[in-house]
Amino acid sequence: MKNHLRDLRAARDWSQGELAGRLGVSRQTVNAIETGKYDPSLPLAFRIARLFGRKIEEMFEPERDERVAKSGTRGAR
Amino acid sequence: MLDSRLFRCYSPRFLLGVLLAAAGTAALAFVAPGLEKGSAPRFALAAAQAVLMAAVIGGSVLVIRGLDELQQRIHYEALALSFAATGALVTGHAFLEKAGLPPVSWGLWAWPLMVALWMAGLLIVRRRYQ
Repeated sequence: MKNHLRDLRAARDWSQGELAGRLGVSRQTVNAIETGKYDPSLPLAFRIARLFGRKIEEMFEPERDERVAKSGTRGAR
Repeated sequence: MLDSRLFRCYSPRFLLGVLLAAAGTAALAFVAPGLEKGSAPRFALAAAQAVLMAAVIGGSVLVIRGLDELQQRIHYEALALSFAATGALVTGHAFLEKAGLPPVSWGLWAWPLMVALWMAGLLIVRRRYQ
């Protein structure tokens, strides 16, 4: 999943550690989400979206392949 | 070199508790041979060792529950690796033992092995998320 966390964090001039503190997670978790190595759970994704005053779909979007796979599944039904 | 961040998730209080439980278990194991086999004191001593181990397990679960979701995931994957590797090693050794390898008291060594593999698993799994 792609996300805009790094840009939004930079726009607020927050460090990864600061954002981690606001979300109640470790800095490693923030880094893993920003680099796309970890997709957060739905509750954490909502917390992130709420913190930045955005909708969850504005924060996270599926990769191209995931979108194709989804539409492919829908078409097969 | 051992990653110092590996133990960051553990509070010093918990680590101290684990070390005390390990020391207590070892001390009881040292005392045990002096007691008659099958006697009530010997059984009480063995039960005390089991209680100490149960306390360590309960403490570990509580500590992991207190971690954030990614750290929990890393621990669960490391535990799964440790579980599978220990099973493979014990079973593999059982086959080799039948072929002539000297026997090993797994009841005593399985726990330290699992913990060592858990730690090794943490080092391996956490690299994926760095």
